[in-house]
Amino acid sequence: MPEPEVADDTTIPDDEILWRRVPPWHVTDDPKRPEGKRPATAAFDEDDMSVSIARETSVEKILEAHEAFSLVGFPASLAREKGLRIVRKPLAENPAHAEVIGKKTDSIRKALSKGSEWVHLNASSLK
Amino acid sequence: MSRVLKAEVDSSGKVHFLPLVSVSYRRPFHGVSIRQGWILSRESFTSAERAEVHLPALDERLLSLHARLQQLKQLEANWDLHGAAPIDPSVLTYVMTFLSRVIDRDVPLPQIVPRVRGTVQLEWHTKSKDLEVYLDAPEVGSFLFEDVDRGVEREGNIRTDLPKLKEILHELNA
Repeated sequence: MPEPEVADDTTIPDDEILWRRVPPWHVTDDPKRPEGKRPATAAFDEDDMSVSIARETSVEKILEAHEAFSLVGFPASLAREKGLRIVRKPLAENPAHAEVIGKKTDSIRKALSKGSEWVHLNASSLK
Repeated sequence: MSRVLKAEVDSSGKVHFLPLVSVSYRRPFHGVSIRQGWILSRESFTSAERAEVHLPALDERLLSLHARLQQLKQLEANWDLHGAAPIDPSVLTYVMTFLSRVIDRDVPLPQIVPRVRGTVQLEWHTKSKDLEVYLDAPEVGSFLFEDVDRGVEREGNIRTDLPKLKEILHELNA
């Protein structure tokens, strides 16, 4: 019997910003962006995609032990508009941890990339 | 303009194409065809211990992507610190095969990006256009194109819609 679908956590408001770590491999050149870089759509590939609730953490905490990584943020509403669900999944090392659940088609990954803004763009990615 | 690459004959008589050991490349020139780093047809090399292969200018451009492919080949499991799979060598090999079909002098080279599932995607981004090609396995993949200024989106399959993809690639700099 298939497991019941996990419900969207409506205590997370639509205007909540969700942060997603971006490995250096997923920072790509794009002249349309003011910084000249975009998060690759490949950075939004997982069905259970880890994010952090911005209001409940800090950039320093999220990038601890991930020095080479960059960080993007997108509103919870963007994920919901694409039919994705957001669920809190607190971890010992990151109580603000949550997951954006649902299949990420090519067009959904593209929407997440397009709708994300840089919170921290690692300097080595700018070279 | 041409590039000279070295090849060597091993004790079994097979010719190793040194700089492209892990890269699939199939294009006949000078009577030689090469696939997966091996010279398959070696009329010119039967008695040679070393041989030189002259590649035309277009091939030189594709060779510039070789270093990136080698980097991706070295990625170990968990390269994203979140459980990513190592990149499937057959997909890396296929990248060059695919590009040799769609790239010519008028088409810019792509960025090659690894995916956590162990495949790759190719990306072209210009001031007004985005094109991404997702290579899931040899001969299996799709593409997604957007012309931001014109509000046009197109998608397709890399095999059945190859002419459409080539047309898009030639429009990238337009």
